[in-house]
Amino acid sequence: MTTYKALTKAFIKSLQMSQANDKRTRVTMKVIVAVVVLFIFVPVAIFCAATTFALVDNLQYFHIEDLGVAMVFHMICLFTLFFGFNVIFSEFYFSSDIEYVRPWPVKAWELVAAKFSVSYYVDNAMQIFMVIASLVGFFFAAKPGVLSYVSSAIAIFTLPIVPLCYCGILAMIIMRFTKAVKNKESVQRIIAIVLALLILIFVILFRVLASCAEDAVHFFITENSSPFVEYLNKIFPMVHFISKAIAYGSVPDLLIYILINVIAVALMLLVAELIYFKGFENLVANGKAKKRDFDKLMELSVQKTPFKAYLLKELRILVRTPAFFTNCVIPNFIWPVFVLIILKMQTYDASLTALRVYNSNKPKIVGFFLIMGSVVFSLVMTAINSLSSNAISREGKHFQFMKYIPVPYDTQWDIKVLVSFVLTFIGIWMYLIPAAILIKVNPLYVIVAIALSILSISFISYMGLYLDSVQPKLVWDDELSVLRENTNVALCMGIALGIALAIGGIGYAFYAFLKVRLLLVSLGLFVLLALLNLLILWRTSKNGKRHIAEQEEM
Amino acid sequence: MLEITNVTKSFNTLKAVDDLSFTVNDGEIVGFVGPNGAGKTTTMKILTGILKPDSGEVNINGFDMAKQPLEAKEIIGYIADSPDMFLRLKGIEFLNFIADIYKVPTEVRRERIENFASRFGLTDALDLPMQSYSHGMRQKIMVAAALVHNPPVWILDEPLIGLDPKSAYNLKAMMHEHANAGNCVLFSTHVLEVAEKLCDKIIIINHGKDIFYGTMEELTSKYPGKDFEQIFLEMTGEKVE
Repeated sequence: MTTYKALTKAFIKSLQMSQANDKRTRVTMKVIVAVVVLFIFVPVAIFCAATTFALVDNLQYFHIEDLGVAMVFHMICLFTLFFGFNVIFSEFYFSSDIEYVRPWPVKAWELVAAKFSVSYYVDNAMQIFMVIASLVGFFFAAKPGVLSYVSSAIAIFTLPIVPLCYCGILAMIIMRFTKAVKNKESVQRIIAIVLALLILIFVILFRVLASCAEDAVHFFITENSSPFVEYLNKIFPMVHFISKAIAYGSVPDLLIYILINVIAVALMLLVAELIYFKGFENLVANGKAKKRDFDKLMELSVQKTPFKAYLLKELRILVRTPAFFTNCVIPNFIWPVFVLIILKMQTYDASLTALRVYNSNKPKIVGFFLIMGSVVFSLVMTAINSLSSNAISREGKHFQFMKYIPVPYDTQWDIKVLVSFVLTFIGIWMYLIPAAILIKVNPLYVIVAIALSILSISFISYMGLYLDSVQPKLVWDDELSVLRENTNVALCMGIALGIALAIGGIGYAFYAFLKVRLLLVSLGLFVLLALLNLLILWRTSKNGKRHIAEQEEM
Repeated sequence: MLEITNVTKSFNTLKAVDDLSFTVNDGEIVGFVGPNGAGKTTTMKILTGILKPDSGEVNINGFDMAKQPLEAKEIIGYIADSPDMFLRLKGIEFLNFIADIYKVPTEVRRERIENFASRFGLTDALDLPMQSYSHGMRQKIMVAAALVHNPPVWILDEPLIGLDPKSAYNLKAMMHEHANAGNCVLFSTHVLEVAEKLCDKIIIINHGKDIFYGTMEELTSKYPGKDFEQIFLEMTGEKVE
């Protein structure tokens, strides 16, 4: 137990981001964190609380309010499974400290228990927040007893344990028994495929849940259960018991819930003792590649400008690092899959013909949605892909390279922004332009939308990089950790969401309520975004370069 | 020529470099030695522009690092303390990238890359990702990359670590050739024998302060009858059990 405690303490300590030295930066970070809480955590919390409230409020008349809690808890468990898989895999097998710890006289279960605790610590802020919010929704709708409060307190901290145990067991089985897995790259390809599948499942379930509040009552009354919940109860059996414990204050259900958690952890540690260390046997260094002969290499060695060379280097690293590729590059190009799924799930006709007909009947409304949609989407997508808000942190140990080469910081800064801009812009418009042509949208609206999209992507790209320059996370263990532990990414997303909501809301208000012409609304947006760009360029030129010059954590 | 004048650098309350001054003249190889944490790497990072000193000046061939950083950086060849850099790139891509950054023309770089590849036995590895290299191979690539633009000032942080005997011999020979051609080399090492044999002058640093700067003869004349190892341990206050 002492070994477990010591390992956990050391691992967690090595994850933490350092605090800024000067007071001004610390205050700035606090303000930005507040913005993130406001625009990311609060909306998620409201969604969870409102969904739970609506479900429980309706279902308690039929004495099946536990189903309401169960549905939301299942969604949170799926969320944990979805994000936990990446975290667990990375912590169990690819953190660099593992190489140092493995030769020590540490038992497999102790090491896995410590790594599991670290994963729980890393992965859980959002889940705990969601559980609390759901319970608040429940307490508003129902009038529970003292035992419900006790059960709720236990659920807040323990609900993610079983999904994370699943991730852990699955990761160990894949590593031990999958002969195809030879290195980090191939494992990360598997993660990417699993993640893609999980995203699909998540999107479908999200749509199902969104309509649950309205449909649930009728469905539950007639069936007195939900196949959705029944099915998920088989995957997450503990949810059924904790829901009952919370809804009805049932002690036996609470005890069974605790027992299931204990069994899950014990099972994972048992699996660890049996196969964890053997899982490393399949890992070998990668690097087998078809070699070209030396003369050919020399022929290809041709001088390029420093700008082009640096840009190529950035792109190569993004594309060749699986964690960066799947998290920063791929999202720009696969979003239409989700849009298609959502469209397919709608009750109205969203076929190409129908959209064409709608466009010919109401071209201004289609134009409005194209223009506003492209602005909001450009803002959010640029933040989500984290190409800019992670650009300096991604350098990690290489950060000092930025400082000793004879390339001005301004140039390096602009290249990083350009990478974010180009990949996001291509990812968005390679689909939207053909879609607009197929739907036969007025070309003027397309041009306006592209112009506004350029300003939106540019603004968030510069802002993301600026945020990351204030306090980059340069000390990281593996590539995945810089993506998930860098708070600058969340900060950028929070601000982008806030601005997108504000711009979307203002645009809609002017167009729909104040009846201002669409092109005038667009002109207003153009001026606003241009001003935001000027503001961030001014901040960047004033402080961005200074931040790089003064950054000494490396 | 490389000149550092009254440079001080602190990290919070720790004074890593304390009023340090020295000059490495053209034609000299200067060894930078000191115990762990003495301030060697910090000093080298200040010299290359990676760290900004709290006070003092750094001058590289007449260029002030604070006022003309790009000009100063262009003429430095720097080997960092870790060779784990841009491991996703292939060796040849990394060398070309660095050559591009330093604007080395096509024909010149081809000749130099060929020369380094042959001297360090890199020919077969250049088309492979550096991630697959051993520590020694990575170090060789770092040496080649640092020198591909033929910089007049070499600042090498522990350059011999991980090199096989042939590569280490070649690098030492290159350092001699470079100094003999009228350029300067500053390199840090923990191997006192290497410093003793290779260097024209030695800087011994401890707690951020230079405790000796001069030739080996000057040093040994101060401590008659003692070898460099004994002198070093005595000067740095390290007691041998």
